[in-house]
Amino acid sequence: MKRNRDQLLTSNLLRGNSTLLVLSILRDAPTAGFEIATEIQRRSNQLIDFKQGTLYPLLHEMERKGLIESDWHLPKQGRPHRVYRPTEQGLQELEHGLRAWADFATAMTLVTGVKPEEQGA
Amino acid sequence: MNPMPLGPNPLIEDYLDRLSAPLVGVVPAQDRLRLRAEAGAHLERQVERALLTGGDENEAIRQAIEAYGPAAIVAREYIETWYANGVQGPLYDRFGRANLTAFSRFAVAHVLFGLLLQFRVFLPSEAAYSLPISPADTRRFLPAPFPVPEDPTFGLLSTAYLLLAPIVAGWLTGLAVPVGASRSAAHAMLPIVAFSFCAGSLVLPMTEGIAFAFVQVVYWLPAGMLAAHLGRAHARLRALEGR
Repeated sequence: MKRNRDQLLTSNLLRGNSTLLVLSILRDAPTAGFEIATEIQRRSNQLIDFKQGTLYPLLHEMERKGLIESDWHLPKQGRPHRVYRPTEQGLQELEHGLRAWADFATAMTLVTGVKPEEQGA
Repeated sequence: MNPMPLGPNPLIEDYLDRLSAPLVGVVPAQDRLRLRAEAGAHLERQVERALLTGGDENEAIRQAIEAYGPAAIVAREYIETWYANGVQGPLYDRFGRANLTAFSRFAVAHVLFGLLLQFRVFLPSEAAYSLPISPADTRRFLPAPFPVPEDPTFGLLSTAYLLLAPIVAGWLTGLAVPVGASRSAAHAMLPIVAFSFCAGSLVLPMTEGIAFAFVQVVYWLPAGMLAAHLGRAHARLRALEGR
């Protein structure tokens, strides 16, 4: 059962909402790809499980679209890593997307009669 | 304290090599190096975190790589994302860049063959013919080719073109489309074949048009797809060899 839920989260739902997930993490603070991946998994109680490497094509695509921007961070030890932060356009996209998502979740709850926390328990 | 050993770890570097290899010749070097640097930093930080809680370094690296994903899958995802967003525009958005690229090659091949046939039909081999009306008007009254002496060069040329055109178009598609080249060739051929069938039906009872459509289905389509696949493989091999 858990396997089926994982597959659902990683395939259908995640695919359409991955931009929102990333922007939600970046809204709080500029973050590197590693922290974005681990934070998504942590906040979702590991329900959202994905190969972390697939995050970078998404980040690069979002940057090309002007939703986020990034700079190299050069630590004293270890490899340099890139830190991402949302642009004004990205924040607007997040606001719009979250509103749409809330409407969709409300509609699903009304139609199915199942609240997310009940289904997740 | 940094628990990572100084210098690059060979296991991670090997993974990064396998991640970068499929991108050569497809993604510009600047983007490729950036992805490699980010992947390396990601893996090292993952390993650092695992080592802070104790454990074997090689096992930590193995787990970090597993969590990151198979190199081939991550690379393919990157190529598809990069290529899909390479050029913006309403046509590309609607039909896909790869499909339009393939279509342009096969459509040119199709149109050139049409022109070749027109040339064969309407150009007299001797200069004794003068046309009082336009070729299009002439064709309405004389749907069959002019009774000019058959020049074997034309027959040879059109047959050779018929055989070589899908191979060349497919090969050029394969060189230009880094992902799913043969699939794009098939997508491009479908409307062209449909057009050929429609055009062939319009000129019935002349059967050349319908015959050409059949040739496109049974030969152009598979030959074009195969050539696109081989062209793609060739482009990738050439890029890897750094030629």
